[in-house]
Amino acid sequence: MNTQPEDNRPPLFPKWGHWYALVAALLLLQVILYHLFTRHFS
Amino acid sequence: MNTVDWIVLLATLAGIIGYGASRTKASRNLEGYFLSNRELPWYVVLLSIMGTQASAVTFLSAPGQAYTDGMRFVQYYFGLPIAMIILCIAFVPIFHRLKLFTAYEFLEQRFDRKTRLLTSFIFLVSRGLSTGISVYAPSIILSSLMGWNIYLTNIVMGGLLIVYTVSGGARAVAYTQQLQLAIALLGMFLVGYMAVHLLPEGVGFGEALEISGHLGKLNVITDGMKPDGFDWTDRFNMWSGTIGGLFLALSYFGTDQSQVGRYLTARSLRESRMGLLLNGIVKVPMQFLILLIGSLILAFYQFHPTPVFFNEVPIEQMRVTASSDSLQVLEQRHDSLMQARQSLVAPLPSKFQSGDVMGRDSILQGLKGLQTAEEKLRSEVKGLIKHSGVGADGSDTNYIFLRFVLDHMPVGLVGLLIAVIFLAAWGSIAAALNSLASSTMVDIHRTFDRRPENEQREYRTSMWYTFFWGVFCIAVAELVTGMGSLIEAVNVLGSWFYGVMLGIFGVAFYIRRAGGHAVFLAALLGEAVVIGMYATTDLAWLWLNVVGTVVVMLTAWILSFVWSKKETGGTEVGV
Repeated sequence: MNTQPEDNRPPLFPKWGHWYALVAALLLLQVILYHLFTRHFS
Repeated sequence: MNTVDWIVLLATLAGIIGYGASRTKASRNLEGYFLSNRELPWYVVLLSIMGTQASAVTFLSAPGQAYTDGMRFVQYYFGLPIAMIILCIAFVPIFHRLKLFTAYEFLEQRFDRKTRLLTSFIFLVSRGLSTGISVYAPSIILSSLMGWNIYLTNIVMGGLLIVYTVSGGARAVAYTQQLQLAIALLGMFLVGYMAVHLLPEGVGFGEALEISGHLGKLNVITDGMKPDGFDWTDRFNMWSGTIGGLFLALSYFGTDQSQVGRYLTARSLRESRMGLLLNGIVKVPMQFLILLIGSLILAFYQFHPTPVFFNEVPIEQMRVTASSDSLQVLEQRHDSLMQARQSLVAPLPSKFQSGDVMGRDSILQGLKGLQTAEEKLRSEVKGLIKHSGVGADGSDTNYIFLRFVLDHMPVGLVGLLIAVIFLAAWGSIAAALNSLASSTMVDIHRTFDRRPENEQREYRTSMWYTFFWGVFCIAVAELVTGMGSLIEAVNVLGSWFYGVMLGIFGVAFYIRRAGGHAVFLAALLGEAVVIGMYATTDLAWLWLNVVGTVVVMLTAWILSFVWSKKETGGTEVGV
C-alpha cells in the first residue's frame, strides 16, 4: 500500500493548465502539419 | 511458417507468460489484485493505457486501412487529446479523491444503487461481448492466412493470457503490457523498414511517399464535404474524428472500467494525469506512423503483383461453387492489369534517379489509372464473394498487412510479427478481463453479498471471476465463429453503449439537480434512441456516441424538474 503523502504538482510546469495547453497546442500543430503533408502529396 | 519462425513465435509468447506470471508481488487483497496497491509510476500507467487501447486489430487493420482508404483514418484519434484534458480536469480528481475501485461506484454515491447497477451491467455486457470478438477477430485472420484451426486459435488467443491475468491481477497486466507494446512497436518499425528496403534501387522512403501520394492515399486531412453539403455517413473526416472521436474517447477513457482501472493503479493523481496527458501527446503520431506503413506497403506493391483478394480462403472456396467461372474471368482481368503495371512501372526507378520529373509524373499518372481499374475489379471480386454463399467477409482490408508479412518478410521476422498479433491481443484482453472481474466483484458481488468483508475470500473470489470472464470471452469467440466476419463489430458494439454511459457521467458532473430516477430513465431512453438510429439510418457510428450522450443529458435535465435529487437520494459529489 502506498502510504506516502500525495504530491500532485505537475512536473516541469508550475500549473496543470500549462500541460493542458501543451497537449492542445501539439494537437493543433499536428493538424497543421498533416494538412501540409496532405497538400504536398496530393 | 518455417522452424525458425515457430521458435521465435513460441519463445516470445512463453517469455511474456513467464514474465507476467513473475510480476505478482501485489498484496493479496482487492486493492492489490485490481489496482496494484495504487503504486504504479506514470510511465507504466501510460504504456498500460496504450496497450489496453491497441488491440491486435489495431496493428492488423490500420495498415490495410491506409492501403485501401488512405491515411484519413488518423483523424479518428483527433478527439483523443482533448478528451485526455477534460478527463484530467473533471473525472480523474474525483475518482482519486473517492479512492474508487470502479468508475461505477461513483454513480451510487452521486445517484443511487440502481443507476450504478445499470451502468455496470451495461459495461459487463458490452465489454464481455466485445472482448469475445477481440479474441475472435485476430484469430479468424490468422487461421485464414496460416491454415490454423480457428477453434484452437481462439483458445490460444484468449486462453494463455489467463495464466498471468488470474494469478497476477492488475500488476501483471500492466507490466506485461509494457513489454508487449515495446515488442509490437519494434515489429511494426521493422516491417516499415523492410517495406522501404525491398523497393527497387533508386526508390527510397521519399519516393515511396511520392507514389502513395499520387495514388491518393496520403489524404490525412479530409473535410467530409460533398457538393451538396456535409456527408454524415462519411466515417472518417476532420469533424467526425474531432467531435465524434472526442465523445468516443471521453466515454472509453472516462467510463469504461478497462481504461479507468488502468489509471486508478497510479500512485497519485499526478501520475494518473501524466499517463493520460502523455497518451494524448503520443497516440496520434503513433497511429500516423502505423498508417504510414500501409502507404509504404502500397508503394511496394506497385513493383510486385498483388493477389486478386488478400484473403485466399474465400477465393479457394469459390473455385468449387457456381461462381467459379465468374471468378476465373475476374482473375484473368486481374492478371492483365498486373502485367500492364509491371511494364509501366519498370522505368520508374530510373526516372526518379535521373530527376526526369515529366517522365516520372507520366508513369505515376498511369499507375493511378491502373489503380482505379484494380480497385473497381477488387470491388467486383468482393461482390462475387458476398453473393457466392461462401460465408466470408466481403472485405480483405484486415488481411493486407499480414499477407504482406507472410509473403515478403524474411525468416524470423514472420514469427515475430505473428507474435506481435498475439501480444497486442493479450494486452487489451488481459486489461478487459481484469476490469470485468473488478466490476463483477465490487459493483455486483459486494452489493448482494451480506457477509462481513473478508480480504482473503474476496481475493480468491476475484481470481475466480477473472477466470470466469476469460472462459466467457473464449466461449463468445467460439460461438461467433461461423457467423461471418465480425471484425468491425467491436467498434459498432462500443458505439451502442458508450454515448449513454458518458451521458450518465455527464449528468453526474454537470446537472446537479438531476437524481437517480431521472438519469435512470434517461439512460434507458438514450439506449433505445441509439439502437433505433443505428437500425434505421446510415449515420456513421462515431456520431452515435454524440447522440447517446446528448439524449441522456437532455432527457435527465428535463426529468430533473419532475424528480429532483432531493426526492431521489444521492450525494453531492461536485467537480
